[in-house]
Amino acid sequence: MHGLTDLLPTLLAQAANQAPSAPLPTGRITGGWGYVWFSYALTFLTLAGYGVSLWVRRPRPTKDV
Amino acid sequence: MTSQARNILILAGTLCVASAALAFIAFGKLGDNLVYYWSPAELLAQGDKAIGPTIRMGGLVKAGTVHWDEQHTRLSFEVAEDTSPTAPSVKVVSTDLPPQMFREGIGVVVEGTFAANGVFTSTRVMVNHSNEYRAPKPGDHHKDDWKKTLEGAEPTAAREQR
Amino acid sequence: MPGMQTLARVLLAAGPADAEHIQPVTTGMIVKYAVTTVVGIALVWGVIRLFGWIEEKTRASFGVRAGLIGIGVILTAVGAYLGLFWAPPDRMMGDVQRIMYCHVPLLWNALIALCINFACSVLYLIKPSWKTDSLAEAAAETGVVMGANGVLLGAIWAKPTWGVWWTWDPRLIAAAIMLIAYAGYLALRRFIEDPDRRALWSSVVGILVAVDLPVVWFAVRWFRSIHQFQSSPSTVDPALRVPLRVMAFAFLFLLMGFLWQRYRIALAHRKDEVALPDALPTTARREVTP
Repeated sequence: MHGLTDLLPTLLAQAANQAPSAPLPTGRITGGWGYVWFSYALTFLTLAGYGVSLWVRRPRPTKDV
Repeated sequence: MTSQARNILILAGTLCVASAALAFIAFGKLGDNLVYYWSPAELLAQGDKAIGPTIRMGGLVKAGTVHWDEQHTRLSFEVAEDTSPTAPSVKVVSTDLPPQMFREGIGVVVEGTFAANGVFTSTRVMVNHSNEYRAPKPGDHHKDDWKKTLEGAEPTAAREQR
Repeated sequence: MPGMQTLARVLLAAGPADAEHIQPVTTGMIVKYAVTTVVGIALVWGVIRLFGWIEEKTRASFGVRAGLIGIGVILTAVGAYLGLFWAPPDRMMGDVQRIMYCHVPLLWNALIALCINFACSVLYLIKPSWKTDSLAEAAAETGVVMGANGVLLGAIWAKPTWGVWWTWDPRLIAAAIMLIAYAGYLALRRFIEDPDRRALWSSVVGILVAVDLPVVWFAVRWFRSIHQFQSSPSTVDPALRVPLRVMAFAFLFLLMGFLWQRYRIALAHRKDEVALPDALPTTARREVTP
């Protein structure tokens, strides 16, 4: 779970970076775990949701009109 | 005409249309007329046409030209055609802070306007990443980078609290 | 001099201003891709027959589909673990690069699904069959779901790396057109009520919108774009390649399970439609299917 434990220090570091004394980017991305978590969650939710929709729409042998 | 023969005719016609469309996109020199960005040399070659409208320019950030004006929070750098020292380049002044990947030598696409004085005023700096994905080198200590920043920042923050 | 080649590739890939990496289209390429298309269509035909054979042997067992999805879920869990915790961060992009392990496999599989839709569209016109039509419908829907998901992830990834959520880059335009076109294809299928006409005209539309698929793939080579072009094993370190491959296969299994289940739904629908003439009133329908 290093991602989660890194999140706060990274945010702090980013905040520190945005101070006027150190304005220019370093050329490397630090942090950004929020983007990663969101992406993975979105992917799993979409795929799971689609799977559920396929189950709900499954063909039934006796069909009510 | 049987429906089978009709279907084959429809198939042949559709495939012809589809191939023609694809060929037009691939060979039609679309890339010459509709470009996502101009290179510095192309921009300079446009003459007056480039002055005024919002355009994009893409190239490499020339080494040693990145300058941060702290008082006016203004970033300036040169975008070069390629890595050779004599490559044509255009000076860019940006009011937008670039993304974290911004560094000397990296590919950028800037959006903004070109003025008659030869300066490109950018409202948006985008960084172009290559298709290379590499693990950090043993000497990089990338994961510990924030610690350095934090160690530097902590005393200040602590002082302010007191 | 492999060192020089690597250097050249790094520079070309990083330097969008250099047009040398834009690959010219050659006759050899056209022949190659034409042959690939024909072989691909034959392959899909074979796969449909294989599906039919397995369905006959397993009596259309739901277990087979559930098994495929199950393997997909397990592989996804392994791939997510590898991608989130095991793989090192990228040297420049840091941890944000981990989004690639979802973004790229999603779009690969979306393109596979949409290519299946194209093959089915062609096959239907050669030899009409409800099975081909049903698989075409299934492939378009799964392709749109995975494709939309992949494009959204691309936007999330672009924000920290490029600096913007979206820009009108050729690759992004082609991908947006792809999603809109196939959403339109699915809408068209809903609007046409007669199953025969629906199958016929959606096949025509399926072939036409498939024009965009090679454009999506080659946009980064044919046109200037901010989107990096396709990586190859030589441009990705082994440790970063592992989660990418695991996720690619994970989503491939999910795709197979989804496709198959969605195909069953479409086929059952088709059979209902064909079995019940529209002229019959609702009360009469009840008698047909108790």
